[in-house]
Amino acid sequence: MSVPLDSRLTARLRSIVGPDHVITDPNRLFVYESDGLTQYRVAPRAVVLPAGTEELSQVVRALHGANLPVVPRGAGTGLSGGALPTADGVVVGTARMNRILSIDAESRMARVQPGVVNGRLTEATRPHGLYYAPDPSSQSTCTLGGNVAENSGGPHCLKYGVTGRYVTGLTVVLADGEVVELGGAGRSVDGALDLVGLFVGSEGCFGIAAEIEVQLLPLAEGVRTLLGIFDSMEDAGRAVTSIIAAGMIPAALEIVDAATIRAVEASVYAAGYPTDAAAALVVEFDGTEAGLDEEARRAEACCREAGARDVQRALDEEHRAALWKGRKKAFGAMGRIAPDLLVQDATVPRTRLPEVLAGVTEIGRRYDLEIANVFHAGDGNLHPNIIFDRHDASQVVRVEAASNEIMALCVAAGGTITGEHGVGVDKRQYMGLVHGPGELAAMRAMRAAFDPRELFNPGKVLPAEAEEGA
Amino acid sequence: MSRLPETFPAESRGDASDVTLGDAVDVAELVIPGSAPEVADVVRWAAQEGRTVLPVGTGRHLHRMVAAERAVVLRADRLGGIRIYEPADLTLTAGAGTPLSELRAALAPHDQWLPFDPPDVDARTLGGLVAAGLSGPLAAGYGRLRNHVLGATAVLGDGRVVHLGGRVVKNVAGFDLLRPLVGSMGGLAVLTEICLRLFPVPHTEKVLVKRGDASAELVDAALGVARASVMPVAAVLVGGLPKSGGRTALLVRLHGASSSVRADRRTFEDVMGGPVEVLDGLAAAEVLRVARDHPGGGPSTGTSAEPGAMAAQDVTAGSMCHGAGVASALPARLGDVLAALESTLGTVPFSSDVMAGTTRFAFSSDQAPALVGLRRALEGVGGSLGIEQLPDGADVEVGDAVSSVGAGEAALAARVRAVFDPPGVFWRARESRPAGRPSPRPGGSG
Repeated sequence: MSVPLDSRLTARLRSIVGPDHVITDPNRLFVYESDGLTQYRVAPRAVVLPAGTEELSQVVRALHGANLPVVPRGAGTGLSGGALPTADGVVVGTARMNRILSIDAESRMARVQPGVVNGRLTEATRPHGLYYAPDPSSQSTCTLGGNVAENSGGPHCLKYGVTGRYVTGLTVVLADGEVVELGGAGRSVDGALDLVGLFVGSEGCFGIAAEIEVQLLPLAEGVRTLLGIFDSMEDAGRAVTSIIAAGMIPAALEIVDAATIRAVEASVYAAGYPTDAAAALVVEFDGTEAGLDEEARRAEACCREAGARDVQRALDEEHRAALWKGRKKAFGAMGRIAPDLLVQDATVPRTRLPEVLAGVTEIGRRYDLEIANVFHAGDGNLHPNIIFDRHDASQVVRVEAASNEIMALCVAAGGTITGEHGVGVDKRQYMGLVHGPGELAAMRAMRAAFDPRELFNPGKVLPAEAEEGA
Repeated sequence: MSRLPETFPAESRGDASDVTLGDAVDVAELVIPGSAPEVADVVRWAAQEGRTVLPVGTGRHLHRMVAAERAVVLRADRLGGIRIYEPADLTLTAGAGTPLSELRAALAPHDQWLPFDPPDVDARTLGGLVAAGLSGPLAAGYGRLRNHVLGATAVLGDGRVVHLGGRVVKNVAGFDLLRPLVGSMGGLAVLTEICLRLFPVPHTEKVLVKRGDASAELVDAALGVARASVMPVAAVLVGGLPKSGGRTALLVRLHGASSSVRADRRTFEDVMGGPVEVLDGLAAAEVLRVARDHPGGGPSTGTSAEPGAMAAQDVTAGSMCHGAGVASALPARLGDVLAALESTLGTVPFSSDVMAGTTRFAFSSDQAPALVGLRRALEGVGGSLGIEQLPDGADVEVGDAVSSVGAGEAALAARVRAVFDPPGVFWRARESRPAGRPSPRPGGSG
């Protein structure tokens, strides 16, 4: 149980944001105890919800004055525990900072507050023939501020890239409450450092993005979606390699494995994927309508040459949704059949995927755990999902050990410990696998350059110095 | 004045008199190290001696208004070579000194390429390109260079060698210290090895060209291109072309499947209006090269460090032209930017990246004083002015002519700089002053 805030501080916070927007009631704090990584739960001392940049700055200044840790929070959909509160600190949520400040259709820019939900920006810009490209799976609920903090990806980032590609400017509130403008479209200043790029992906440790300027893209004229069904994962992998080698850049190249297919088909989300298949590959092209059939035909040929048992091409939007269903509902379906689900995240060079997947299967067998794989095959970004029951202590130990081995396997294959979910609390212990003491020291120094007292999101990203290299 | 220690390998010592980097740089040492640890030795030695280190690629693009005494120039010639190239991964790791022409030749047999087209791209090194952070107009279709640098080995100001990023295309393992190195102009660290994302060569390429006499008549067509329902991979408006039949041209570059390029071509022909030439193959490559290197550029002068890469031969403005600037604003402000150029400098050769809103232009020393007014005009429309190169004899204080970042961003940048370069051994670009404040003379702020 956390210690209540000093009453004068509480009063000060209430005077800044209004009495209803400082939450101290334990029953209401409950929902803030964790993010999408529900294994970790900590109640904060309070949650403060400012409505704009000025309020945010004042809130942060007040908390800095009291020397209290601050945990920034968007929608809480993160999967690495990045928004996990600290028992001695305060959560600053962006839920009320949810306005789209401007849309400049001519220059294809938008300026938003951090609490704007990702999908809402696309809805708002669609009437202008524009959309916001990065589309994390949680886009119907996750916020753009959270996307900036995590440098979020999504199934379409093979062609379009991740959040960092689209953020052109930021207004940030630093740990002491100072408001700083970084970058900005239409300006390129000699000798200026890319501080926007540095801030994106800083997981709430460098400050809070109070305003975000993003680039928009014109809506694609058309889309073609294929679903290839394979009897072996190797064949599916060969199809991906040959599509890439043929010079095509699909918008998405997604694979689900046999365990995932079975989980989906056994759930309410059944998508009609054959349950005896070893892999299903979703290939999607978007762009100018006239070119799409040509690309789809070429990709279909790649799949068939690689040994696909069946290739379906979506004939309409409904059919397209059906082909995607087995991929999009994979996490939901597994969540239904499993008491608990650990969604892992790692990236390897694409050509190493087959051997890494075989290794993951072997690890699962050795620890007697069911691991279902979903992955962004085009980028080598895999999500091994471990199904377990947190009330089974021996299983929890095995999950931990298997996770360790999976991370080590990916790093040994030339990969990294997280491709899009971030380090948060969950991956801190693996940072030593990919970074040496020199790199970690530089990251620590960079954090101090933004937040000398380390009050922003303490205990995230960087391992405790004692754990380094462990 | 102490010299580079005798223990330093002979093959890494260059002749300082081979290097000229403009009047303001006194080159005391030229070092051509062969490895990251050697770079670290030089940097540590220089920091101890209170010298300024200037890392350069070929050196010919080191245009900026550098001022340094007893500078140690570090050239990357011996840090070249491809280290890892797995075509099916679409990534490549190479030494920072690798010429981009060498990379292009290695990628071509695999139908892969680097979609970056800043001026003179083939005369640059990989490290130079990344340090300059230049993408070129192809950024519209492929994203900026900063998004495709996957990893790097860098020597920091205190001689530490760090490996940042990795060689995978998606990587969020820790703070992204790589981003500020891209475009840092060698002012934060020395890059010794770089991993980049590669792209497949497009199936079909067409370049649409519409020519005109004055830029004004093509501005509307350019804005139409920028707002069209499909995006070209690049769109460039060039003015002051020497041998083009017309003085201005709008180029729209299309990539993709043959059927989509055919459809996009029809879309853009409508948007551009009037007669549009459609080029491909060598004809397209030639017009793209001219536009890419315009205004300025010119033939490579080899690896010797040489300032003033701005060549006169492509310039028709009348005078010998040795200055280069970059005017930026939101893409929709292109007309305002060109009007500001015209009203402050008169007619100058320029090349606008229509999709990004940046315009490179050439100017003579006589026109330099007018840059202060140009800066004001650009900032008035939310834009900015940068100077890539100042001609000899230009009578203008750089600090008054170039736009600056706000005080808060500058203070943060200084703290970030200190993380990479604690002793402050790497050179700094001269800093600008807030608009409207008179500059102290002589000396400036650099």
